Amino acid sequence: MKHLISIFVLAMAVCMACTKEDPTWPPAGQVEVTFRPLWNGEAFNKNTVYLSAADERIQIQQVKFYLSGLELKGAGSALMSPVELLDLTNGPILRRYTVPSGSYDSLHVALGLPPEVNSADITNIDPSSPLGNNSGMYWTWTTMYRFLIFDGRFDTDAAGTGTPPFQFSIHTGRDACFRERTIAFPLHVASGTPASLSINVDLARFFSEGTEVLRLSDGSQSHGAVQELPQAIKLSDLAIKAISPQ
Amino acid sequence: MNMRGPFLPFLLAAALLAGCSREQVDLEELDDPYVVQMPAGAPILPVPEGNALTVARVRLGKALFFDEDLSLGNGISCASCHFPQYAFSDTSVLSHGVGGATGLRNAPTLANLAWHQGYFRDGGVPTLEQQVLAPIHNEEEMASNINDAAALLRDREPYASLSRKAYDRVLDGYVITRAIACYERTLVSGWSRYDRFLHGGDTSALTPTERHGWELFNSDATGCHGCHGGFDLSDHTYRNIGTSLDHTVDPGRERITLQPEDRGKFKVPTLRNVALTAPYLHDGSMSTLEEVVEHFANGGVNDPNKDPLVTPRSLSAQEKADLVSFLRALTDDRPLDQVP
Repeated sequence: MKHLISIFVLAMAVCMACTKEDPTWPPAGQVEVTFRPLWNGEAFNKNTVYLSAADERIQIQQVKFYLSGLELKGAGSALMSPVELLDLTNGPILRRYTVPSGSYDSLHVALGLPPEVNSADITNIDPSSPLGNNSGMYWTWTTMYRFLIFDGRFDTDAAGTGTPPFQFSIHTGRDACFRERTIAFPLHVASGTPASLSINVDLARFFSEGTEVLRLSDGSQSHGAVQELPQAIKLSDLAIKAISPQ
Repeated sequence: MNMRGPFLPFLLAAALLAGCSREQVDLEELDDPYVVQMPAGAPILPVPEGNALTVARVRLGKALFFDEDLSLGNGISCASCHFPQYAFSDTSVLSHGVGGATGLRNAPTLANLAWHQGYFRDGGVPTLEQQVLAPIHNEEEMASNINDAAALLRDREPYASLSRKAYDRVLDGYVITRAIACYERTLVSGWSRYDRFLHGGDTSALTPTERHGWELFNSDATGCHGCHGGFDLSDHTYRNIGTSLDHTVDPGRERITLQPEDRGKFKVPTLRNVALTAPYLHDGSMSTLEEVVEHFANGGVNDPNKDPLVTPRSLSAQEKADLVSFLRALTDDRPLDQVP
């Protein structure tokens, strides 16, 4: 936590210092980020029953997660946000960040929280903040956060109809499920007009990437228990790859 | 001469002044450090930086501990599973929460928690303050939310004034967790006949049978002292004692560390007041001390993670009975709760 806060404060201090010494360089720019849930490239709809790569019928009822270390990288780095709690169940979410103007060539993003944040004492944190108690993301029995809540219904019969009969609930968490990724993505941020960035989360890819497949019939529940952890780890591996800038 | 006439206003004024002065003293007392009376042989009471014991904090913690509205009016308080008369343990095999929900484990005694390094039987929570949050939120216990509970209680007395006095803020999650932790740190056990025998120079405090049990307890013939040594009669380590080969329901310490070698390991419990804390073990699966002693004498099942100290022992029926007699001498002579 201290680490992230330090980075954040340092970044703010650097920005302020630059402005103080030379208000014209680098001028602040803005990035408008849309976090967009998709299913195979199309807009996601929570009422739709989809077919996964494992031939399972899927209806996603909640997809809520932490993205941390949201940072633009290039000649210099610009931390847009140390942590965001995103619930994409009902559609896209828009956020606006202020960063130094300039050209960036990649985006760093992490799914979940780094260990120093994950072990924070939640009772010291403002309940209404993303990391606070009202987030509904905390596992009190081990004083760690859930990183991703992925709930819904499924059916192993690909030809089935109607609401899928079985419930799935895979919650990732624990340091073993923390995943981060830096993705090449050129972005120019100028002062004045905000740059637009879409961070897509393709939920179909939560179920498959290459040869790796998440089959809910192999395990539809994961809440931090040892025997349930393999599904959570598999989902974490897949979910980080499902995130891409556009 | 009738003295009441002229003296009445003076007496009334004096009474009022005395009243004011008593109230002032009370307020000052709330700011005072809370001094826990320590038994002979006890190590220094560890208190974390930032949550020193004061009268206000301890009193607030005690009031919260017994308040069923922590479960948002669902009839469950901390004391619903941690009964003061049973050394703050539960008599149920597995503890019951809101709506009769059954918990995962037997609720242990809260005696001498201040000295623990990790909380719950698997040690998953590092501080007593953070521990408070778990039962409040657990759906099998209070099924509540600490912020909602704080909102419900914060304007009530004595919470409103005590919270201000204790932490200089309104009752919230921060205050609830810290105040209850303060109260729990005062629950110090070390006032048994065994303590008088060991530290008080009272050689007659234990009967010959109990004394023989104590000697056995400390001998390599039983190995009890290997895990149940020290002031708290526990080294607070995590050990597998071979009660079962099936850890599907509760993997114990492995749930926290994810290490297979920790499967089936649980924190070594204190033996203080053990005669009051039945049923025994993490799952409440043994109902008498005799059963527990018999289990250790038999050496348990051959779990690959079983502690090497848990091995078959040649003990006569009399020796087992003497061990049990000694364990019964570990009951405190006074209640754990000494907070007014």
